[in-house]
This record gives sequence, C-alpha cells and structure tokens, in this order.
Amino acid sequence: MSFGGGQIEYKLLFTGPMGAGKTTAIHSISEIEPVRTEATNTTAGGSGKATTTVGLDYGEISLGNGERLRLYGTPGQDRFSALWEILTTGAMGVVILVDHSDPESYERMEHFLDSFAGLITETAGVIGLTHTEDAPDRPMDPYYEALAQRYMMLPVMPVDARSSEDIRGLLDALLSILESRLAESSMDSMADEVSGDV
Amino acid sequence: MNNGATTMTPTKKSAETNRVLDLPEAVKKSCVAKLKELREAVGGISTIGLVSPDGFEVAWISTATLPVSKISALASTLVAVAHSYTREVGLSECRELIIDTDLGCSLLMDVTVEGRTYGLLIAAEDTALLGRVLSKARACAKELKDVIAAR
Repeated sequence: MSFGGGQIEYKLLFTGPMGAGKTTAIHSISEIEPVRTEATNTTAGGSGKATTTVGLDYGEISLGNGERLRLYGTPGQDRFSALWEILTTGAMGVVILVDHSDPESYERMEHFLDSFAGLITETAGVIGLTHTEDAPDRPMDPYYEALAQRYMMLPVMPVDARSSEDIRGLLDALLSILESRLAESSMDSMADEVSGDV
Repeated sequence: MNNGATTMTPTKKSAETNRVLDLPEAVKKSCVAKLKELREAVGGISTIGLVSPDGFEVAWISTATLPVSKISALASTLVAVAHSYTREVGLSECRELIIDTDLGCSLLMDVTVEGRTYGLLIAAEDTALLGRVLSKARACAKELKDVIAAR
C-alpha cells in the first residue's frame, strides 16, 4: 500500500498459467492504457497462443474514495518465476486465473496455489475460472478439494476475462476478504490491549 | 503486505518444452559460429547468447557454469520491458540495454527479424573495453539478423 499524491494505492497480482486470460483481464478493467510485454510464442508447450507475456502486464483502476488499485500481471510460464518473486513484493493479494477447459486445469491451479502459498497466506487470494462455457460438464469439486487439502478458503468464481464486470467481481471478492482480515486484525489488537490493561 | 521474503519457486516441472520451433538446427549452428567470432574478436567476454522472443536459448557460449534457461528467460524479460519502457517515455523501440556493475557489464541487443524480437546478450568482465564490445556486438547483431532471415 502506498500514499502517493494523497491517494491510497494497493498493489494486486494476477497470476496463473499461460493462456488463462491474465493479460485480457487486466486489459478489460484498466482505466489507463495497460502496459503489455508480449512476445512471439515459439514453444510447443502451453496453450498454443501466438504471443505470451514475458515481462509483466500493468493496469490501474480507481475504487472511489481516492483509492486506486495497481494491477500487475505475471508471466504464466515457470521459466519466468524469477519475475513472480519480484512482482509479489508489496502485493496485497493475488488473483489466480485458470483455464477451466484445460484438461490439466486442476493440477495447474494446485501448482499456482503452492507457488504463491506464502502470498496467499499472508494476504488474500481468489480463483477465477475462465472458459467454463467450453467445458460445462467438467466438475468443480477437484478445485475445492485441492483448496481444502491446503486449508485455504479461497472463493472460486467462473469469469469471462473479457468482461470488466466479471473481473471487478473477482476484485470485489478479494477486497472483501482483505477487509475482513483487517477487521479481525484490529479486533485482535484491541483484545491484546484489553488483556494488557488487566 | 508481503515484503518479498517469500520464495516463489515453481513447485513441479510444468508441461513446458524447451524447444524453439522456429529455427532449424543449421541456423542455430550458424548463430553459434557468429557468437564465437565475436568472443574471439573481443577480449573479456565471459558469456554470449542469443535468446528467442519468449526466452529460450537459441545459441549460447559461456566460460562459466550458469543457469542458462533462467538467464535466457530474464534476458527476454529485460528486452520486452525495455521496449515497453521506451515506448511509454515517448521514444521508439529500445535497441540496446547496457547494464553496468562493479564486476563488468552486460549488454542486451535487439535482434528483430520479421517482427520477432530475439535478444543478443553479452556479459563481459571489467577488463573488457565497452566501446569495443558495443561496436563488435552491433556488427554481430546485424550478422545474426542476416543468418536468421536467410533460414
């Protein structure tokens, strides 16, 4: 969180495997022209996309009351994990996007849950499932089971990465979790003060 | 807030493949030959490589044992971020990036062929003459473009 120019600004991270829709999601809600660092995709693996993010995506949106969100998108491929660590610094929460129609979507979500476990535990996270319309019969239970195994209580929401309304819904869920955690933290502090007085 | 202390490490091997599909082996060999010529022409170069737009090593020569795939990925990131940065500040595409350190310098050069931005990366010890490295590297970048374009 920063207080540049009187504005309160929060940094949020979008991550997930290649082709999940991170660049599209940031593009769909950013109020500024987003920064994109896409390059020609030359690999046989992944989603078969023509381009892939090799640096970062960046966008901004305002929340009202002078608050702004800075949105950072990570590259989706493991080879760029050094960037994950750099981009994670100072983040208040993480959105993990996963292509639900990908036959390995469950494993990919687990991979990102584990890779970003520290950030999720310290802050908050939400899961956005894209392309759900392409695999309507594919069950959701494995996502919840994977989260339960890790004692992570994260919302799992189907979204269209092209829809600003859907992505704002994800961010609303994330901010709600953050607010409730802040409230819990305040309550704990008050309880500590009271017990200290006694 | 996260203070960056968390180590972000991929937890298992992904489905990525380390194959660059768009350059034949003969072209890669020609690229290695060009890199060798550059290293022999300029003293002090410890590592020299050509990376694909999405961060795979195409050709690589180094006197040190280095994490080649990681460096290749970071090199493509730096080239892409530099391009984005120079556009945002109202300049054109970034051609070269010079990174200076106490132990030497690293150069990253744009090798754009048919809209695909490959990156020529060079790490040189502090004994190397930067001007000479730059001059020879620019010539090498041009030759690499010709080699790739003629594939």
